[in-house]
Amino acid sequence: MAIKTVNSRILLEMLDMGAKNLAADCEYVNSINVFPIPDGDTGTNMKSTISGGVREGKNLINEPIGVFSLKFSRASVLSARGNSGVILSQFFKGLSMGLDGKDEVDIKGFAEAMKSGTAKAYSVVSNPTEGTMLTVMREAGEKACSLLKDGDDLEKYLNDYVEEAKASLSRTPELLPTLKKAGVVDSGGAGFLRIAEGMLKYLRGEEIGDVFEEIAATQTPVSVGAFDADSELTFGYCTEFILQLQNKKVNTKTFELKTITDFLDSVGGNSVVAFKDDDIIKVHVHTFDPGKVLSEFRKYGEYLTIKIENMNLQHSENEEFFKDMTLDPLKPQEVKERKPYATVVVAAGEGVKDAFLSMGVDEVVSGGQTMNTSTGDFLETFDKLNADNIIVYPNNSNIKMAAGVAAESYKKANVIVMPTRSISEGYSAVTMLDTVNENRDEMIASQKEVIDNVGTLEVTYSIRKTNVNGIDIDEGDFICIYNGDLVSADKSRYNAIIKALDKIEDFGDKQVVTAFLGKDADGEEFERISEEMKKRNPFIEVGEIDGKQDVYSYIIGIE
Amino acid sequence: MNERKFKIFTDSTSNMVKEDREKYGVDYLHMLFIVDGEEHLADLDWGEISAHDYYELMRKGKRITTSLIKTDECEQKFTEAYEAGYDVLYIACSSKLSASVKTAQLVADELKAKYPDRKAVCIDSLASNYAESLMTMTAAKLADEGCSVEEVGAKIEAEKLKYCDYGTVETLEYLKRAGRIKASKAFFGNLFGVKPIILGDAIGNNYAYKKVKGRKASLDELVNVAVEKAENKENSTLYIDHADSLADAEYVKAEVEKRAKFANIQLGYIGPIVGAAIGPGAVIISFYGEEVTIVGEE
Repeated sequence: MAIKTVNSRILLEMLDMGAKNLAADCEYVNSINVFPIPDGDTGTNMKSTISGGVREGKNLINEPIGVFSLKFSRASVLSARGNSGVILSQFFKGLSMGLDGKDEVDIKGFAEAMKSGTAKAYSVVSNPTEGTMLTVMREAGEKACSLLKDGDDLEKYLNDYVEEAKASLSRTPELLPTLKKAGVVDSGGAGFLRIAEGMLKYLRGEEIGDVFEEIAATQTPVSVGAFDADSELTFGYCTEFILQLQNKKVNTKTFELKTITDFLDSVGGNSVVAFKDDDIIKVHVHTFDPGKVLSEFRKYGEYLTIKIENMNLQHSENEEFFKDMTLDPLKPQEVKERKPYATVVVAAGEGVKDAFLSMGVDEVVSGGQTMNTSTGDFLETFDKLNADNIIVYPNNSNIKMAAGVAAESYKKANVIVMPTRSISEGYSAVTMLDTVNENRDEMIASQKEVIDNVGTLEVTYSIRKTNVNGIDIDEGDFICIYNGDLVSADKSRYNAIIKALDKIEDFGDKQVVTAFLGKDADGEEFERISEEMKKRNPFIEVGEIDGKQDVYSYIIGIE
Repeated sequence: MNERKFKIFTDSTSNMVKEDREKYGVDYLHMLFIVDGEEHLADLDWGEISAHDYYELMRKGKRITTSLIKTDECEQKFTEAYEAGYDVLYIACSSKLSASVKTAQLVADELKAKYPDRKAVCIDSLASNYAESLMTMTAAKLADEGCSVEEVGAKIEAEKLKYCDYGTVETLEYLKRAGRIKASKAFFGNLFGVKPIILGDAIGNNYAYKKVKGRKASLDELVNVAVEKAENKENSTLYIDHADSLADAEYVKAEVEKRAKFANIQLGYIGPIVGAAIGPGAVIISFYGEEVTIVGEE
């Protein structure tokens, strides 16, 4: 295809293939995360980001490319998860800035727009690190642009782009020592290359082996003829509903989703997807007896919507059903009295969430190391609140950017993103928040002071053999991370923690320890750790919270 | 020194030690504390039970409640003063914390019929602890200069918000249970490790106006308050009272001495009445200084 001008349709087709190509290799991209903790979500985050744009873009192929790309980027911003997702969404934003006002664009214009994407992506990272996705997009964009000659077509340009992206990606370990030690290339860069390769594949008319339905958002129309008077029901009914929990029936706050899923299991439900958002439960299940399921759950609440489809007729799942609670008009919006301040925290783990709620925070958004919160999640949460100021505690550096982008684009309240990088920092800040006796500036200043004073010790295990900060780690070793730095590793969790305590230089000056005990924590073990802490600092007060979080046996705030 | 024209009383929440009462020639009206249904006089000299044992009881979980001044003692002491030809000045615990000042006023009104020429001025100090004592001492000095009870009452009234109490506690639970604290929603939830800084506010409530993290930080904040808000330090005394936490009181004293020069720093126990409401481990500083303007949110 000798394409000399790019319009909305071509751009969408390319990005669609880019998304599919990334999706096909998503697990690989996830797997090359460098830090030895079960994080691995870069591919998933980037996939979510670009897919959001593609879904939106499908309705816009007749728009001028300037309009198309702007709306594409906006949708990708809303779907952006994690740092890698935010950076990618900002690349699309920059691309759209380069295409602004145009109906279609020539190859040179397109190449310039790609560079504008890079510039925008750089601009949102406060300390851009080379050896990441940023480097890959910058070097590929610059090289391909410099090789561009009059008369070149899009395929030639993208071919140059992809070649340089590959070369650049292979150089990332030279730029980032952590990559080199782990023997991997940058995962964000790898994800970005997958997208560029997918775009090129479209131009070459190549196929991608494994096409993901999730991205192919179109649904096959139902053919009623597939089920007649003699047919047998072999697949059951695809049953989806939204259950509004009712206070007069259950405690809607503490009601456990497990009650629902256990019942579905007991009646042989398949493909169960269920989640709880505040007092609403969304369920997707394949069952031969939807009636039984529906009457059972009226014990806990009433249905807002119910959809039941014969699976013999309809095989394509409505994936979108679970994508987004926000756009769900059925969700009743509680009208709350406007208040000067509302708080939003990001947390994972039932007990951790409860700890925040019991401190009076208004909304807890699910998220954390292994599941990054998207900008859209934040915007949706902000809409539930009615406040002049919304204070957000992202509690993870991977989520800070998504929160920042949400804060910037939200107009109905003034959003303040506190720089909390851990659950401990967030919890401490929330316990010290005082919006009554301090004015806004004082409050922000004192919150930052509190956050700066918190050290976070995270205890988990390594998913691979590696060496970090000169410490040899075997797969399965317990590791301690203090303020983001790996400080100890040991076969024994207790020993790893004691070694870590000895590395915290200012432990003697600290006063308060607040520990979130994870699902696999051991109360007796923590008693012993607590004794060791008091030996090292007799003034220290040690408190425990049953956080029930996954992955981290302990998250310990030391301040 | 002129002869005094009136007798001066304070009450059990003043924490005023015997040496000070004798030096300034003042007396106090006893409130009551109640343990296991039994009433005891709130003795600032700890005759019946030592301060340490008293706070140990609380640490062990013994519930101690309190009661306002005894009407009979108040009537008796006012009558004795009147019989001897004196008027009466009573500097009372904040009316937001105790009904003592109202009760004393009722007693005084009652006695009016029998002693039409005598006067009792009952002042709502809007304070307690040594801020209340400091007002009482000022009143004594003015009395010695020959001022009438009305003159002294007016002077004290005019500047009572400059007599300050600031404190910190191990836990807000005692104050909350005793209903003796206004704490905004900033003090909601599990406050593990979070220490409140409390002051006697401009309308007489105890108000938790600031949070700090950790015990030491709370003591350091009291040091800051003493250094920044006390006036005329070189001629006045800083009072540091504690609920059986002498080491913490001594820490505050030592830190203040590093940064400011007070004529004197006096350590003592928080008396049984304030102690029952505030709980073991509390530290309160009292001084004359910057006028309190904060009014706590209800």
